[in-house]
Amino acid sequence: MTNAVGLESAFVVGTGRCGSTLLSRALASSSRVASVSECIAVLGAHRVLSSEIVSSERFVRIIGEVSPDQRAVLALRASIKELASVSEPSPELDHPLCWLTLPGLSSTPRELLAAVLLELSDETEMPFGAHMDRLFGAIARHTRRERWIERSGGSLSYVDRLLEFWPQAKLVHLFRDGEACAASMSQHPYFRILVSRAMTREPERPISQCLDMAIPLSRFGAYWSSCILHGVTALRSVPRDRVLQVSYSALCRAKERELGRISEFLELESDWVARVAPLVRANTTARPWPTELVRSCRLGHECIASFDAR
Amino acid sequence: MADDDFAERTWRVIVDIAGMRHLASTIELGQSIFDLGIDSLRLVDLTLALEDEFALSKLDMLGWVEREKVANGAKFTVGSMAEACRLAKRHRTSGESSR
Repeated sequence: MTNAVGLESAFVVGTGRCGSTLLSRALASSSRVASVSECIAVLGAHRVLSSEIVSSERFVRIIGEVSPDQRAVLALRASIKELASVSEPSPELDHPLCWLTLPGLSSTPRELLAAVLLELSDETEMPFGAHMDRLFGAIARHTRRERWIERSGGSLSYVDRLLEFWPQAKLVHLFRDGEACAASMSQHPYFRILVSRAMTREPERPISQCLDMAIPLSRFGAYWSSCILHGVTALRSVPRDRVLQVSYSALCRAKERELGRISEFLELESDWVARVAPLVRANTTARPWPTELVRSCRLGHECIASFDAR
Repeated sequence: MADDDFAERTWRVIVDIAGMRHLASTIELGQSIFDLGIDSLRLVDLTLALEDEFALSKLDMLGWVEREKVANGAKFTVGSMAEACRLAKRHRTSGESSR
């Protein structure tokens, strides 16, 4: 399926803490696809998946701005594994695309950024989301890839908006057992912020207050279930041949088989599975979980099972 | 249990989860649960709270959401939710008595 700029588009979506970073890393070793990691998350889904019509110039300016929230999250980078590699002494002075996304695609991310932004610098006016499509296309072309696959942690919560802008995109939904996922989220500052804000219905609740909030583990389970419910409901509207649901635990148990399904679905090169299989290691987090956590995850598990059975 | 009782108790649980307790005495069965402030996170809480309220081993919330989308014009009303609870309770009760 091709989009407006003639490049195929695909997304890896998930709740976050579900193994999608690993898959993104594996996709990066394909010579066909640009594995665009954390682009929408870093730029802010609420900001970049907007229907507001803006000029290219304004789009380029806005994605280069560091929001107060981004600045506050950056200040926590020592405790966020994904951001630990952001090593600039003053990362807020650098372009957000150079924090995580472009370093995963090029050893010279600033040069890549300059080339991409130059391509986008014209007078075109269109919705913000359509500019994102051009951005991904430019990244793919400048990294000499045929197409792109974007993956941002927690993207299942806004997959309906992805489908608005990329109705023809292929989607890999990677999920992990709710209880393990919730336990992992509870240890991660980014998800502590998300859950705190969702619980209090304060989307701009100060980060320090979010991190100080005592949140029972079952609340993370409920958050996981709500993401799955929201996302899988949206995925049900997508034709079957454009959605692939993959279990992280199955990926760890039978990696060749599951990677083979992903490879076939995304039409990757024939030796991709053999090359990336060593990246996948067994991950055993199964343990007796608290009853309240299990209960809070039940709805999410039911959604996943019903999607598989459709 | 009378239907009115199901409606009243369902309404009370919904406004409680939605953080709208001040509405507890004004039952509106035609009101959408989402307009009352139930979002996807609170829908999970609502499922568990209704199971506790009516002593259900499982309330098929996913099935209810799907049915509402198809059959009832995606209104997701309190009355429909109460009916789902009533049917789940009856199903459970008849299952127990047939054992």
